[in-house]
Amino acid sequence: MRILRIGLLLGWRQIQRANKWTTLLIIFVMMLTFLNLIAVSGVLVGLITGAENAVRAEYLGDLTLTERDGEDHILDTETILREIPYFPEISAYSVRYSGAGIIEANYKERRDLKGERDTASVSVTGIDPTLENNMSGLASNIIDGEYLDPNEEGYILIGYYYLAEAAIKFGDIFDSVDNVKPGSTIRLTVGDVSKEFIVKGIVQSKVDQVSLNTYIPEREFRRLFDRVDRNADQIVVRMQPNQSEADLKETFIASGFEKYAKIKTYDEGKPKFITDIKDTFNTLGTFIGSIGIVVASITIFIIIFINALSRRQQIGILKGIGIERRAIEVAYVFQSAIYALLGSFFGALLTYAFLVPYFAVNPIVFPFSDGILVAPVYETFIRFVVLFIITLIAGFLPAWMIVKQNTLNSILGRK
Amino acid sequence: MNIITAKNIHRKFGEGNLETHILKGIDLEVAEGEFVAIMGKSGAGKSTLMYQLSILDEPSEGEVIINGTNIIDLDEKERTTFRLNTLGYIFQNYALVPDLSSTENVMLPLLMRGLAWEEAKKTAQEVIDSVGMVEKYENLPAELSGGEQQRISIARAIAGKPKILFADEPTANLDSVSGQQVIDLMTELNKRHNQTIVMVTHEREYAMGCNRIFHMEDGLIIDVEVLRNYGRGE
Repeated sequence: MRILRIGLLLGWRQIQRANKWTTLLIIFVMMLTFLNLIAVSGVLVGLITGAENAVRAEYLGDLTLTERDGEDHILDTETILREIPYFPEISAYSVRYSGAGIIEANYKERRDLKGERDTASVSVTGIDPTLENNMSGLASNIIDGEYLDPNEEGYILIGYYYLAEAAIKFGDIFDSVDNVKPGSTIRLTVGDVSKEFIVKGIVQSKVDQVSLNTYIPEREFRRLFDRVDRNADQIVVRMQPNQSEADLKETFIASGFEKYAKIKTYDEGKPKFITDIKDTFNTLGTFIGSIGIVVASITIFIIIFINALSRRQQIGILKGIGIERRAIEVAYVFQSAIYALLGSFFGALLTYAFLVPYFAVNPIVFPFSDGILVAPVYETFIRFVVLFIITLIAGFLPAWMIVKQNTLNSILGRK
Repeated sequence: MNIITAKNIHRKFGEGNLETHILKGIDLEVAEGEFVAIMGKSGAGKSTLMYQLSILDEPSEGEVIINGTNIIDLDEKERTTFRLNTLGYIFQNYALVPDLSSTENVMLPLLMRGLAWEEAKKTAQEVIDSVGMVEKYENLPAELSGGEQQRISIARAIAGKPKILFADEPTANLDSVSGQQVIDLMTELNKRHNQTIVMVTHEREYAMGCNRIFHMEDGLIIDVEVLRNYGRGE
């Protein structure tokens, strides 16, 4: 206790009397280190989280119902749809019918009937345009043309990646059609049945399942795919804010929906590779951030070393008058602790009061994701603890090296 | 009763051809309550002798017994504690902690001894008063003159009521007026509180208030000058 008290007195007074700009600079360095530790992994993870959020917002929703194992479609979809609108936890939902077909473009202008047709194999999704837009905001992803009108028939939305101009950017890995734009006529063929559609709009999103899709009204889908039973392939649900997905899932199960469909929360439904990539990026970010810690610890080491070295005679005199070594070491460790605490505090303040909210509103635009800054409080705290401990060690080592020197040599300035 | 007994003290530095023999067999005794000075030319070994007596250094040979304790037997931590509880130091460059106020400088050894903060503060300010530095409690060393700093240094040295006060050329950095004030203060401490003092000095005039002067030359005490007998039966 005596040692701690004297150490704190010496350390605190050194900070108080030190050059204010130097102290600010050290705290600034610590703040940058903290930010580096949080922000690098935060942005990397945020890259995936941004993509994940987009998938959740524009495609999967909070809860998804799909066909049970061994079934082709969700059974008794009508029963489910009769009940879903009455769950207060649900803010929106959409019913999707999925199939595959072939679209053909430019067939009217085709002169050489023996030549290759301009076709592409596509995913086709039948939707209720109003329900789908409420659920996923599909209309906002129209980059050219217009969204489907619920009262119209004969129109189709085409995913951007099915256009030749987009496919080229991806090395032509997708089937695509050329010269298709809003107003173009295309033919959709499913099995032996073909129907002509007018392209109403082009859909593009950073969610591949949206950009690699075609959308037609559900009535036409059912007719085209001969789905007279009206059983859907997917029902996606958006929940009211602050509702528990797990609780709603339990409610669905209690309502007997599990007899007709497989029910998955978003976390259960998302692909495992997303979690793996996030973990990988997190590790990568931590590794890069740890380089920052090493730099900061070296900075602290040098600062404390120079400080202690310049006070070597004073340290010798303190030991000479009976102040224990530990008390003097505590003084320097305390200074390091203050630098780490203040740097981390301002770093955390900047992170949570500015950076996280800012990037939530203004995401970093990456080609495949709108990246946000992800900084979970617990992980931030763990990183702070690591930074703090390393800083303490970086402060202790030089103090220990100087303080352990022979007392008289220190007093006399001898080597 | 002797409070310091030094027997056959040798101090060598370096090894082999580089060995320097600074103290060449010093025998010395200081009685409790005595004020002694060690004088000699530069390089005579007077400061080195004081470092051995004040256990800031360890002799190469011989033994030093202070207040009944043979300091050769103490490890580093015990020496630190011994210095804290038994000895007081006045250095020629005052050696105050620049970041601490006068009061806090004097409080340091008291806090180290385990006194509560308020008690240490009260004691420190009383001692500062006693060295004539009333109203300088909160001043930093940089805000004090050399003489004032040395007074605070003396206050720090005596605050814990040490058995022996060691002063290493306490007037070396002071003008003659301030130097005399410091010597007067030490003399008063010796007379009023029976404080044992061992002082190294160059200047004879400052040693005139001592009981004895040890004259050194080339690592040996060549003469002991008795100015005022103190309990030595002469």
